[in-house]
Amino acid sequence: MSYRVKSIERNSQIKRVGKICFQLLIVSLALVALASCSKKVTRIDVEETKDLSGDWNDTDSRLVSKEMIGDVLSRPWISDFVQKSGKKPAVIVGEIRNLSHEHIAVGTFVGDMERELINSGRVDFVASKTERKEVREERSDQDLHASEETRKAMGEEYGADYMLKGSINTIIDSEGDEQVKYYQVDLTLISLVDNRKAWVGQKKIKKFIEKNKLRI
Amino acid sequence: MVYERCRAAGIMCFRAIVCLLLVLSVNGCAGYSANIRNVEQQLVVQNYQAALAILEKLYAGSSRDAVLYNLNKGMLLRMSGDYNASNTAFETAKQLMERVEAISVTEQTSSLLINDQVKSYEGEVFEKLLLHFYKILNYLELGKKDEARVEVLQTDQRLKEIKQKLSEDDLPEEAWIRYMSGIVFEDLGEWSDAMIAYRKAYESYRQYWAGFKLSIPYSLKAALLRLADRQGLYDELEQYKQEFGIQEWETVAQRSGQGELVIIVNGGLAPVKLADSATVISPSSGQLIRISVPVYVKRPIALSGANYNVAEQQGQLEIMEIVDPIAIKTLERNMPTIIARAAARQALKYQATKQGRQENAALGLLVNIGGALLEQADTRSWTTLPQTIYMARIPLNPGTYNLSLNIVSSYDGKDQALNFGGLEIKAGQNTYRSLHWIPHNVTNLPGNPREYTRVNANYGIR
Repeated sequence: MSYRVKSIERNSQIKRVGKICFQLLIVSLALVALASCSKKVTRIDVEETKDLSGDWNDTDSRLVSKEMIGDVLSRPWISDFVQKSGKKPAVIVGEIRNLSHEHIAVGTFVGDMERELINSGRVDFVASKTERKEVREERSDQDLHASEETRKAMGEEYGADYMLKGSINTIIDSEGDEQVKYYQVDLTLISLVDNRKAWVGQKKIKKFIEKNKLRI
Repeated sequence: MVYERCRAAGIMCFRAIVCLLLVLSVNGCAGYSANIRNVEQQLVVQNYQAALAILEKLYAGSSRDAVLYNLNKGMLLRMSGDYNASNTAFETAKQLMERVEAISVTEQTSSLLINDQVKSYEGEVFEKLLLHFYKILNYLELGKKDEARVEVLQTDQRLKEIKQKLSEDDLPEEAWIRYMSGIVFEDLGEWSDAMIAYRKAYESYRQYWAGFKLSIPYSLKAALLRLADRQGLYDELEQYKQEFGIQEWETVAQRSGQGELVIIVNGGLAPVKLADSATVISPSSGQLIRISVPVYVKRPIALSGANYNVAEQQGQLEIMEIVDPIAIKTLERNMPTIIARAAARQALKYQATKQGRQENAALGLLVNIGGALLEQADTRSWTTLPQTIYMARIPLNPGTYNLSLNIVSSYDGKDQALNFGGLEIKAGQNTYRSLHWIPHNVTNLPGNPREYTRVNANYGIR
C-alpha cells in the first residue's frame, strides 16, 4: 500500500517537473519564433511618403528637387539671358556641399533637377568636371584610333554660362528621446561671366522625431 | 511497473536538464574575450583576411553581439586598408547602437534570470566616441573631407545626448575626438568652428591630466595659439601664451603656402575584460552562491614611443588618447549597476532553489547548480581598439614626400622602421595617414585578473 502511495507521489512530482519543462520549451519556442520572423516585402508607390528613421530620405530629396525646379523655371533669369544673347543659357553643376549631420546622397536631387531642366527645353546643361574628364580621355583616344570622318576635334567644347552651387545644412535640437531636425537646402546660380548671382533657391524641411524608449 | 516507468522518465528528464545546463555553461565559459584571442593571434602576424574569417565564424549571426561584431569588423577592415568597407561596417554598428539603446523588455527579464551576456551589446561611451573617430579617419584617408565633417557634426550631437544622460561631474572623455574635430574644421578653413573644438579639447585634456596624468599635446597648444591669433581673440591668446609658456608659433598666415601631414599611429590593443568570480556556500541555507563580475585586464604596454623623419624634419609623435584608463574608469562607473543586477539575480535564484527544494531535494540541488553555472560575467568589449593613439602634425611645403617612422617597441626595446611613400602635400590642405601597430606580446594576459588591475601605468610628462 505504502509503495503505491509513494509511486503516485513521485508520479505527480515528475508530472510537475514535466510541466515546468514544457512551459520553458513553449517560452523558448516563442522567443525563437519572434527572432526568426521571415522577411516580408511590399511594393509601394515611388511618391508615397514613408518615414522610418527620421533621416534624410527619398521624399525629402523629391520635395527639394520639385520646389527648386518650379522656382528656377519660373524666374526671369532665363528670359533675360535669351533676350540679351539670343541663345539658351548653358548651366554646369558645381559643388553641392553637404554641411549637414547626415551622409546625404546629394546626387539624387541634383540629378532630378538636371533632368527636369534639360527636358523643359529652356536650358542647356554642360557635363560636370568629372564627366568632362572622361569625355576628354575618350576624345584623345579617338584622336589616335578613330577614322578621320568620325573623329571629334578638341577645343570645341561648349562653355557654360552659369554654375549651380549649393549646400545642405541641418540644425538639430534634442532633449531626451525627442528631436527636431531642420534641413535647409540652398542653391545658387552664379554667372560665370561676372560672378553675379542669377537665382537663389531655398527649401526648408522640419521634422519632429520621437525615439522609442522600449523594444521587445 | 508504473514506478519503474516514472523513474525512467524522471531520470531522462534530469539528464536532459543537466545536458542543457552543460551546453549553456560551456557556451558561456568560452565567453567573448577568450574567443577573440584567436582573432588577435592573426593580427599579430598581420593576416587580416584570416582574422576577418575567424571573426565571421565567431559571431554567426548572433543579433545580441551584432554591434560588437561590426565594431571589430570595421576595425579589422581598416587595418587591412579597406577604408570604404570599414566605414560600411562602422555605420551598421552605429545604427544598431541607436536601436539597442532602447531598453528591451525581454532582454532585461532574461538577463535577470540568466546573466548579463544575454543582453544586446550596446557599447560604452568611449567606444561610441572612438567609433566616430575611426569613421572620421577613414573618410579623411579616403580624401572625403566633407563626409568627415558630417561625422564630426554627428559626434557633437552624440556628445550632447550622452551628456544629457550623465551627471554633471561624470563627463565623458571627449578630448581626442574634439581635437580631431578641430583638425577637420581647420583643414576646411572653418576657423571659428575649429577654435570652438580646440577649446573643448583643451578643457577635456585638462581633465585627462587630472585623472590620468596625460598632458595636453603640444600640437594642440600650438593650434590654440594659432587660431586665437587668427580670430583676433587677443585676451585668450595672452592667457594661452602665459599658461603654455610658448612665445613663438607659426601663424595661419605663415602657414598659408604650406600643407600639413597628419600621421596617426594606433598602438597595441585595448584592455580585455575577464571574469572575476567567487563561489561560496551559504552557511545558513547550504546553498551555492556565485557572483561573477567583469574586470579589465591591461595588456603589456605596446610601444614606448614613435619618431618620424620627413624632408629633414624630425620629431616625436605625441600621445593623444589612452584607452586603458578610460576603459577601466568606465567599468568602475558601471560597477554598482552590474553588482546590483548580480545581487538581484542571486535573490531570484535563491528563491527558485528554495522552492525546488520544497518539491524535492534533487530538484533543489539541480536548480542551485544550474543557477550558479549560468552566472557568468559579461566580458564583451571592443578589444580591437588600440591601447594608445599617437599623432604628429607636420607642416610641409607642397610636393611629394616619403616619411619614415621609427616605432620603439616596449616589448623587446628594438626600433622598427616603417615607411610611408608618395605622400602628396597640397597647399592649404591636410594629408592624413595612419597605421595600427600590434606587437607580438599583445595576447600575453595574466592568468589571474586581480594581479593586473593594481598596475597603474604612468603617462609621464612629456
